[in-house]
Amino acid sequence: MASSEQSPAPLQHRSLCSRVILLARKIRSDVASLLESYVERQGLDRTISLDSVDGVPAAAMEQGGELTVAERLDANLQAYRAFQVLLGEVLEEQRSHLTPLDTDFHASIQSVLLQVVALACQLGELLALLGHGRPAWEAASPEDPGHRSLFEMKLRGLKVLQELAHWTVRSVRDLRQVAKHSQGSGAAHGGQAQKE
Amino acid sequence: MPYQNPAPQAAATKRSSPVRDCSLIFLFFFFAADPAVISPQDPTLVIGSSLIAACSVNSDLHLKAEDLYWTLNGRRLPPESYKVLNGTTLSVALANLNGSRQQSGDNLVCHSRDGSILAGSCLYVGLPPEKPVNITCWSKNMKDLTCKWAPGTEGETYLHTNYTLKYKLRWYGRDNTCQEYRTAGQYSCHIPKDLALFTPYEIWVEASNRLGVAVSEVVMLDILDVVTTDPPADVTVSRVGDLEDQLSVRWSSPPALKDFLFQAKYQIQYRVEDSSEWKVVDDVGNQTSCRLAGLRPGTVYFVQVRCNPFGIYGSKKAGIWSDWSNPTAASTPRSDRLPGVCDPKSGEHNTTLRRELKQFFGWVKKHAYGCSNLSIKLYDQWRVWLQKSHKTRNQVGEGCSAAGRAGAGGHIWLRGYCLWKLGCAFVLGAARR
Repeated sequence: MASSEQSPAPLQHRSLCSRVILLARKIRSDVASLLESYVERQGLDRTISLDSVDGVPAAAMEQGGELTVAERLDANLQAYRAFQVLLGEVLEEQRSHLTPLDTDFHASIQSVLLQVVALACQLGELLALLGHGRPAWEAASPEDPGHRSLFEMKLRGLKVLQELAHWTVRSVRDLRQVAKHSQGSGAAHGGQAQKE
Repeated sequence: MPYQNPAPQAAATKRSSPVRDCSLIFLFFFFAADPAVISPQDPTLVIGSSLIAACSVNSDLHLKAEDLYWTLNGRRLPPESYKVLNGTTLSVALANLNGSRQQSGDNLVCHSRDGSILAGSCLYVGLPPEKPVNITCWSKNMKDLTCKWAPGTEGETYLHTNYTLKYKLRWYGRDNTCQEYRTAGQYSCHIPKDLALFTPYEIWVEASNRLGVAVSEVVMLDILDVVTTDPPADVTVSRVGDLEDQLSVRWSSPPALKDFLFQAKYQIQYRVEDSSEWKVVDDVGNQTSCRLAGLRPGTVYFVQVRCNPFGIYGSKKAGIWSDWSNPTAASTPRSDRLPGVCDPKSGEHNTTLRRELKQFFGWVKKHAYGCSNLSIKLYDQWRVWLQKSHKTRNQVGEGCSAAGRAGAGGHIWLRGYCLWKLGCAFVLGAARR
């Protein structure tokens, strides 16, 4: 575990934080356009109630102020890892069942998926750089969509994109906190127990 | 929402039997975890069909059928179309259905009074596929085969329709299925390799969607009869000396078929820089050079060449033109003599004029010696002589004879213009004296 006095780690993680923030903003912007085309292609309304759809990580925090840096980053990392799987399912359902001919649309989903993979990777790097270690991850095998009706697939895809958009907003806020904290303390690594 | 489709896929119902269609009410079952179940779930129907769908609410929710309502693609369906089947089940009747609004199916949704979604079903409404028609195929350089087709006279089926191109050698061999459907655009397939020459193929297309299958007529073709090639290579366009109305075009045979193109035909098209209208020279034959004549002086021309590799291995078919080569540009030399203006003092072209004037005087000496009455008639005779001599000089390559003929008249006019004026002045002056 490096310390701030002996290495440029703070600089490194500030720079990494900035990159994560930039990527999160880019994903946010891409997901916004993707949502537009998604609702149009599925014949859905953006305001449709999605309460019945579960299994998608919610961005809303009940105790946001009480999380440590490590907990914040870990929550983000877990969420994007989950979105990696969920977006893969959404893409497969669109290709196989819902919009098989719409390759441009599939390419847009694929593009967001790749960015989410990159974001998860950067968050893992950041956690490691701050000395928290990269949480192990065994990719959950995608759920068998055979039991879902086509309408459920549509709703689930919409929920995944909406929550992903919310998560990118939360990530920007969280990463700003992380950057501020590390600036204030000189080094955030080793501060697993620090409360904000 | 982990529940299984409770009802089998709805059978397609025909426009011709609406009464029977209306009687379709499906049985339904659901798991306790699901708030409600719609049946039929995700049915496929023919345009014009009618459907009765039912939404059955889980009794644990303590909702009554009267608390429910339906939407189709987000629009609330009128209560007159509802029917309470029992305390927890509400049906809706849909008549004369239109084609699905989106590829992913129309959304028929059952809501509770507060707007929450209890269940949804995607309706696929469309037409069975028609026989694909107009199958045309071409082989690039005898190495592959690409075929295109039209989806049928009506075209739109409103349903995802799969097209499969199949082929086999005519007298033996088994059915093969083409795999690459995106290479040449929609309704096309590309077979990249393993094709036989000298044996005809049978080719056909099968169209299928949720409502049925349709097979095209079988097309028979020999690869050698549908060969096309790359555009000619190394196209160069250059000036022909100082001739301001001509350009020379040269090119190489398409390399891939260079050794087979004994009877190939070429076409040239050219246009001026500020026009989008191409002029085609289509009698180039199988030469690899051509001279364009009758062009405007001091003008940039774009030139393209294409090849028709017909007659390969003795094929009697017409052949398929390649794409045009990329445009190559060149300009004709600028003419220093502006129409209607002739300044004997100006510029170096006077040397040419002087030479030609000298030629005229020489001609006058020879043909009008002793004739004191010089007149315009004499000058006209000289012009005829001059035209004849220019015609001989301006003969262009045989392959471009049409262009050469077209250009000859204009060319003579351009070259003769100032001289004519000078000669005219001289002759008239002499006549006055």
